[in-house]
Amino acid sequence: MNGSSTTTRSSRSARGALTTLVTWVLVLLFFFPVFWMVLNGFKPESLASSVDPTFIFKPVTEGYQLAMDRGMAGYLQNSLTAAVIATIISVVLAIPAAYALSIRRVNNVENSLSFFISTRFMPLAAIVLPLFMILKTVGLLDNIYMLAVVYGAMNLPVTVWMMRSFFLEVPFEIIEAARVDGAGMFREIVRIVLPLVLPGVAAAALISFIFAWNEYFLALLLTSSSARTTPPFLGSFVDGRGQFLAVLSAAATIAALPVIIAGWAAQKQLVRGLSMGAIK
Amino acid sequence: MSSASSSRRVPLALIIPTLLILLVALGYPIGWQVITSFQHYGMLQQFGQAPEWVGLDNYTALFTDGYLWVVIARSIVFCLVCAGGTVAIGGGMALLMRAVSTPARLILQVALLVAWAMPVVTSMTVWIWIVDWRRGVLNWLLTRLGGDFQGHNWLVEPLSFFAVAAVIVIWMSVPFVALSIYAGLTQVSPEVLEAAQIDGATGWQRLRHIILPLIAPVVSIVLLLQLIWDLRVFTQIKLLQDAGGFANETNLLGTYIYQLGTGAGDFGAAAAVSVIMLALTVAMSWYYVRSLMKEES
Repeated sequence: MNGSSTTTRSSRSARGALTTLVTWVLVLLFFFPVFWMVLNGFKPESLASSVDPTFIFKPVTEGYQLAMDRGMAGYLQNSLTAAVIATIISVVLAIPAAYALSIRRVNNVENSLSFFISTRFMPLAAIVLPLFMILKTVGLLDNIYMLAVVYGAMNLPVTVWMMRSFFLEVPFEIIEAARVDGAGMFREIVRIVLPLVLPGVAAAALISFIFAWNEYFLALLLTSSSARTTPPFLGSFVDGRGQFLAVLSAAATIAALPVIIAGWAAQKQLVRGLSMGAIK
Repeated sequence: MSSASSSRRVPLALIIPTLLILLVALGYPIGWQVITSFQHYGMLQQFGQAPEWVGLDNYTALFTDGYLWVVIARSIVFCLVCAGGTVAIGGGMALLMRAVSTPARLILQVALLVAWAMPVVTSMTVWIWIVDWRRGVLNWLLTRLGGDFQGHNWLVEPLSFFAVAAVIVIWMSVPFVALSIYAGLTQVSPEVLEAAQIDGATGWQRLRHIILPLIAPVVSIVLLLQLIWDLRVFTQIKLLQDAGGFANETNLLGTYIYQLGTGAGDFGAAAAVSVIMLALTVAMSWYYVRSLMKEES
């Protein structure tokens, strides 16, 4: 009796050790590329592209300087403009839409909802050619504000969908009480509902920002010089010969930094927002 | 009565701007694709010459060419492998996150978030370096372990190209799936599991009969999302091709459209492939949207 309970305990602790080990291996697997990128950014070019991977070296800021010399600040500024405007557009439009899909329901919610959801699955390759042609015709290619509007529209379905699931969690009694007190709809949204769903709005805004900040394909095709954003700038270093590994890593670290910090800070909301978007 | 109809009209007004934007931003491209797919639309048309109406010619040419079928088959297999792998690994990781201590779980969660938030181009460059044939860490490691991998080029052979691409795509999609399924798992009440354990259910039985049925909706939705996303994979394949793969032997639907349109300037054919791809996607997402609606009601 005593012996059997000891074996279960020791087998349980062995299993605990195993799961912990597996967890650390996974952490390493997901962390290594990020870690390696940061490390390479501080190497001189010769060391970054050496055959034997180097882990210990004297850090230099050569890569960062080169990236800045190549005009990275301008690309970062474009990315920021596009991401901020896109986020504002999708959030401002998504709040009333999500409200009308959850609290004050439109008839045939299901139809509008399926429409929103299905637009999420449009293959990018199917959108980009016509978009390119029409922007070329009206002379809005390589225009950062146009790119921002495109991103805003692209993010809209996700934002609406995500916010709606947060709106659905607002207790109806609170809204009813506000209505009894004679609050109009505008007041109801701004004073009652929004404060309650603020974490959800923040999560949706953050995810919208990250999508726009990281977007590569549309930026590559719809911009060329003055409106070029950071991802295509990074992509221009990928040449299959790996000559610019240190510069690229430095530039990529700068580009990833805001997102990583935001992801770290808003971890809880992000996880919740992401899963809300998928599940509900 | 007027108040009843106005109370219905107001929410409609709230949603109309969004619907309009989506209709313009997404409806217009679809319309353009469908029309262009029935036209001869090449380089000259790009510079303003009127396109010639050719009916089903683009489609007949594509379907009889044989290459399109290869690309479709490739895309579907690649999409099935990636989506299946992602959900299996992500689900396993979600179960693991439940089993380990809180600090270990939090660190894994942060690692997943950081990997998810990395710009695709950025993580692609690291991955391209990992598999690089001259100075990649993969060859270095395998050679150290006693294999003969010095100078082995992983991107030249289509099969190993796709293996590399699948690993990268799965690596990029696992965070989202793992976090979603984990969120679903937190809904499973520990009391029920404890009761089952007291009744003598083994770990496997608890997983099979209690946990899996409860998270089945989340898993099926995440799986469908992955299927659709992996069918339209583009950036990863394009950048791997740039890094040394042969485009013709490694094209998937996304890169094929790109090659036809931007590369060869045959916008009519590119539009026809886009329409085919759209039909495939709609066929898949239709089921998804319907199952989601059932879930809600």
